[in-house]
Amino acid sequence: MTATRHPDRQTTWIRRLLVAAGVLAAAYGIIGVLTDPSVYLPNYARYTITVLFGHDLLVLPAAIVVGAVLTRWLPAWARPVVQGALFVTAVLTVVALPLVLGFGRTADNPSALPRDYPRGYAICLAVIWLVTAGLLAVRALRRHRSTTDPNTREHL
Amino acid sequence: MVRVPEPLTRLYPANLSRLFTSRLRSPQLTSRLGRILGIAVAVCFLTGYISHAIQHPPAWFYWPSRPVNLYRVTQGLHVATGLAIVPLLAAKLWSVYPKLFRWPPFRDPVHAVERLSLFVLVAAALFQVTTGILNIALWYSPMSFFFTTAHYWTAWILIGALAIHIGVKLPIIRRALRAPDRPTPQTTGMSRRGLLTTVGAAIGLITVATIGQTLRPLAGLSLLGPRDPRVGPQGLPVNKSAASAGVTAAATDPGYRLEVVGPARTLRLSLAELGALAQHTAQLPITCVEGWSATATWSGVRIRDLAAAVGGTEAASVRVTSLEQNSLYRVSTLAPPHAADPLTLLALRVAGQPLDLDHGYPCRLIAPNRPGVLQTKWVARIEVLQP
Repeated sequence: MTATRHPDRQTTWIRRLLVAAGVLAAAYGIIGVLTDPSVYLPNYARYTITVLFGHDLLVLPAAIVVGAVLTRWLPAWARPVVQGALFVTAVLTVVALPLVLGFGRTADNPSALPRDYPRGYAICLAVIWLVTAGLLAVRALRRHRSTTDPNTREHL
Repeated sequence: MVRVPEPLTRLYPANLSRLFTSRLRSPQLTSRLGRILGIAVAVCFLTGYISHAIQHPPAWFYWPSRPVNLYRVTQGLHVATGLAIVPLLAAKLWSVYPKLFRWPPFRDPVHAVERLSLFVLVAAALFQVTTGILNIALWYSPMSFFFTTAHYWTAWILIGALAIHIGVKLPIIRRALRAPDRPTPQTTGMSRRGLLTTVGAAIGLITVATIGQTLRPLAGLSLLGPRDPRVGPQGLPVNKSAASAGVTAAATDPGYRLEVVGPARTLRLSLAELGALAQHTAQLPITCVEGWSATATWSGVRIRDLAAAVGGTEAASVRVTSLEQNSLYRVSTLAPPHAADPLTLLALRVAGQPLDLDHGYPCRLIAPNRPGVLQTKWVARIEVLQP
């Protein structure tokens, strides 16, 4: 708390400089967006609002709810591993989805998006969940040992 | 007054933020994620700015022609770091999500301005990451604006809003990062270390799944690479085909002549005459702004030999114009370091064969350490610009 109430002068100046530089840079960008005709302001605004509210009010809460529901009935020792796997699955999907949908393909250029992306995505998912299964097996085995062997109990 | 039943009172604005129960959220976690995310954003901004400045050089900017692969590294890093931001940003926004529902929404006008600046920061970050992903997947229809300029201006908004954010939160960040590493309270969920490991694993997986578009040894492993450096006509990817550029007829016309214009004279050379000039070979990459790259063996006439033939000197810039009519990248100008570099070729052949039509037949520009969009294909005219 003392740091906020009695900030030393150096910190105060670093903060002022950061805010001032930030305001200048952001203003430069905002002026650019507002004045560059190739940005097409209404479309830019619509897209930005869509991704902001889409993320904050749709995708993130949906991810939290799905994660909570899917891990609800898991035993406590398994939950963190499955939560991690769900997180990796979700962010991988963000990157893979535009490729899997493949709307960027054109007939005259077969070298653009040349791979079988649904297959690649499926293999990535298989890797994630195989690793998860392996981690769960290790955890289960350790738990089993620690409850049966009194010598190893103190290590856990 | 009607009494609202208990479960519904939880949705009152004043109670909303209490819906979030994870004890993993803490200033320590947010600051640690934020530190890595800040570095990643800085790398993206810097590499992105370099790419922008090469294409639209400000007066003070100097870009060398060597090392040959420098732009390949900076732009490969730009795209790889941008993709690594996806898990970082997801975890960072999750860690502060309950604060979005803070009630009352602000204490005083200054606090209100600060919270509004957070909307700008989050919106700019989501904009940059999603448009970047759409662009490398060549999916332009959701972006009904010009990606290149919008991505550039928004980068300034993002870096500015980030600097403001760090300035405002600096005391909290410092305190959190200096605090002794206490274990998170024993819960049934993930530990802080577990979450950071998970984010690291996600970054690793995304990187391995895509980096092969520029690192050829990993091409077989990168199942989600938007390009494969081994796939395309003559084993090399293409960004714009001759058909989509509308140059097929002009490029295959037997009456084709390359116009070379200089201070001393103007030459009009047929393809056979170009082939009769001194030929040189260079191993150079095609490096796309979209982050893929592929090395090939090119051969043809040195640009500096052509410039000298029409009276140009080492200090000259060279303007190269394509047969393509309606493209932003129809004309590209070689700055003196690139124009004078012996590796800069007007290539007639790749991998020992005449260029494929999609690679720029009858001839194309290939120069070291330069973005692919500036390596003009289907060259119609070369102009020496003396300073």
